[in-house]
Amino acid sequence: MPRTAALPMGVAAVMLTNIGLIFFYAPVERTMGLVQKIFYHHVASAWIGMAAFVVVFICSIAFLVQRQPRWDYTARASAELGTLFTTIVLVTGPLWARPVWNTWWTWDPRLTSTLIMWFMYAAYLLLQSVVSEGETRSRLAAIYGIAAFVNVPLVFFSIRWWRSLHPVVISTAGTGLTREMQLTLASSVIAFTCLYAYLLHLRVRMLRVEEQTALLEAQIIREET
Amino acid sequence: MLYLAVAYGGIWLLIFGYLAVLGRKQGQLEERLEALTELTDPSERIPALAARESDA
Repeated sequence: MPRTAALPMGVAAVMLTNIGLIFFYAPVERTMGLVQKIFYHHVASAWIGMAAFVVVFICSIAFLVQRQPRWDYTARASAELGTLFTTIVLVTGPLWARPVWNTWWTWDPRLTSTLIMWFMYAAYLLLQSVVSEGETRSRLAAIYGIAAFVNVPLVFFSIRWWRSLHPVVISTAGTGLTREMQLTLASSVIAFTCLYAYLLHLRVRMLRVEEQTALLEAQIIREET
Repeated sequence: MLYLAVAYGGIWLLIFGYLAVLGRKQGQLEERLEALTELTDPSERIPALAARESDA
């Protein structure tokens, strides 16, 4: 099997194993029933989404210090993926809240701060597309990537700092999950980490080729005129 | 059950949707690279330039 095919096949195998564990290994929760199984992908997406924004923050600082394009590509790709995973959180959250809380949405600190975080990174992606190519765009994006990160710890600690309907998954009191549920949650986090790493690798490579192609095109146009 | 099915359907729709966008971008990139190769490949470029010069 070629190496290029082995990587996506491996990620697909990990994701399928995780889905198998969710539906055939993890027990059905007594109070909430089957709908509780949304939890595994909801929590994993939330953690990976936040981890992706941490990567944006670190790479933005690295870009401003070293001015190497690879940091810019990684930050941009990670912001896209963080927004994708946070979108998953914002879609699955209300679908779980409706049968459990009897409402699709409530202006709870965790939900509100997550929505604000999503808008901030959607604006980051918009900024990337409106500012023309080059160093200015990369610098602006890096500054914005650092500023937008302010909201990420707020999202994480919102359920600990303020009164919230949203449960705390891991606290000093434990997780409140059975061993099977803990294992399934761990496998979801591993599966989403693999998916994130694979998509990040793919997107960074594509951004590098895009930038180099644009440079070559500009050079050829200059030579021809 | 319906909420669970919609949630998992939504998750996979978003992931495959993102992959489809990446695939489309890669296709466009390949087209741009092909055009560049034609422009920079001497066997393609010289006849094209010669034709342009003769027109002039």
